[in-house]
Amino acid sequence: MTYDPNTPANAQENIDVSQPKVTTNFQQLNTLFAIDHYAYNDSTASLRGKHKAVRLVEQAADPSTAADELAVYSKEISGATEIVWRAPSDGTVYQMTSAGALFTGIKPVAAVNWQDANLPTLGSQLNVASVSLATVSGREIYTITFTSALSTANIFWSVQGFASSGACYGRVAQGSYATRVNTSQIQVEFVDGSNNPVNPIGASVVIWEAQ
Amino acid sequence: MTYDPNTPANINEYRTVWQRKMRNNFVAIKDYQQVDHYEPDFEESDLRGKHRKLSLPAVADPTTASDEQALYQKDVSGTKQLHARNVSSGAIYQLTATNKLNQNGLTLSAAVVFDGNGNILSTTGNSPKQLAYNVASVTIATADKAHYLITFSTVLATDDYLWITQGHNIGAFNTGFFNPARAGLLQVSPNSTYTDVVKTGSLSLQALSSTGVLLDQDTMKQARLSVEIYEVV
Repeated sequence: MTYDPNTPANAQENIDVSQPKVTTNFQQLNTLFAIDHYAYNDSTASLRGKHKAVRLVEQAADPSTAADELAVYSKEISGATEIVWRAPSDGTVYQMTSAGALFTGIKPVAAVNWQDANLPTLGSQLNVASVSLATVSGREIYTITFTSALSTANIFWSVQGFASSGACYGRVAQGSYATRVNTSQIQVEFVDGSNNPVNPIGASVVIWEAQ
Repeated sequence: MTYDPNTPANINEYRTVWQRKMRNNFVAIKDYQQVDHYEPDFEESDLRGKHRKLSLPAVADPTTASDEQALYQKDVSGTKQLHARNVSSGAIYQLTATNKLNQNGLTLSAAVVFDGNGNILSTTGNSPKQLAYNVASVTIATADKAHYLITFSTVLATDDYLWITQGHNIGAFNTGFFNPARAGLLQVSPNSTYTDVVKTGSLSLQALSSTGVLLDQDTMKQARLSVEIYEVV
C-alpha cells in the first residue's frame, strides 16, 4: 500500500475505484505519522501528535534555515553519523555529538574526589577503578587507575588538593611523562611551597581528552 | 473526535457517513499535527510541516538504522532525561542529567570568576553578563583576608564534587610565582575538616602564599580568581 496524493484521480473516477484509494491514504497517513510520533488514533488521546523519538537520517547536504529558525539534523563527520545544528539564515553548522558524547571540544574521561590523607576514601568518581598511595624515594605518589583505558596519553588534567594546614600544590608527579601519565593511569602528588610532600585531606582530579 | 483510518469502510458505506468520517479525519490530522508541527493550513505557508517543538514522553530505546541517530527521552532513576542512540541500534548515551547537559559523565554544577575583593566579574560590552553559574554570592569569610565563601544558588546533590580553582595575581606575574607574599594559589581552605569547607551549599577557598600564609585581601585586590565545580552523573 502506498500513499497516493492524486486521489481521486479526477472527477470522473468511479467511487468504487476511489474508495479503496482514499481508505489506503488514511491508513498510510496514520501508519507513517506513527513512525516517530504517537498516531492520530493512539489509545491515549493526550499523546497524539507528540514525538516518541526523533530519528535523524543522515543528510547529504546541510538544510537551509530562515532568519528565525534553527535546524537539528544528522550528517556524516569523519565517517560517523553525528547530530549537528545549524544557526539561522543558513548560518554556521555546529556539531552536537562526537563518538557517543556531547561535542564540546574536550570531554571528561576520568574524575575522582577523595578524602582522607593517607588511605584515600573515594568519593564520586568517573572511570576510576582505584586510587592508591605509595611512598617512593621520599615522595608521596597517588596512582589513579582508570576503569577503562583512555584513547590517548595526551590528556588535559587538573589536580587540586588541600591539606590540614598551609599551601598544597597538586600536580602530575615528578618523573618522565611516560612513567607518570599513560592510558591506564596517572600518578599525581601534592607538595607545599617548599616542594615537600603533602598528603591532602581532600583532593579533586579531572582528566579530559580532546574530541 | 477520533481518527478512523478505515475511512470509507467500504464501497457500500453511506455517503453521509463517510463524508462525516473523512471530515473528522482531516480535522484530527490538523489537530495532532499542530501538537509539535506547524499544521497543514498554518497561515504562514512557508512554515507548514516544520517543527514547533519536540514533546518527548518516555519511551523504550528506539532502534536506529545504519545512517541515523535517535533523540528520545527515558527515565533514569525516576527522572526524565534526554538520550541519544548511535547508528545501527548502537550505544545509548545520556545527554542530560539533573537538568544540565551531561558531558560524558560530568555536569558543570557551578562556576564563577571574581576579583580579590569577592566581586563577581562581568563581561564587557553593551550587554554585560555576570561570570557566574549557580553561584549566588562570593563573600569575604574572614575580615580583610583573602578568604572567600562561594555560596551556590541551588545546593548540589553531594559534597563529593570535583573542584578546579585557579588564581592569578598581578603581583605574582611581576615578581615570580613563588613570591612568598603573592603566590596566587587559590585552594580549598586548610586548617579545617573536609565537611567544614566542602559543602553542598558552599565552598570555602583561601588565597595562600607559598608558605601557606593566608594572604591579606588588600594583597589580592588586583587578582582574578576562577572556580569550576563538577559533579559525576
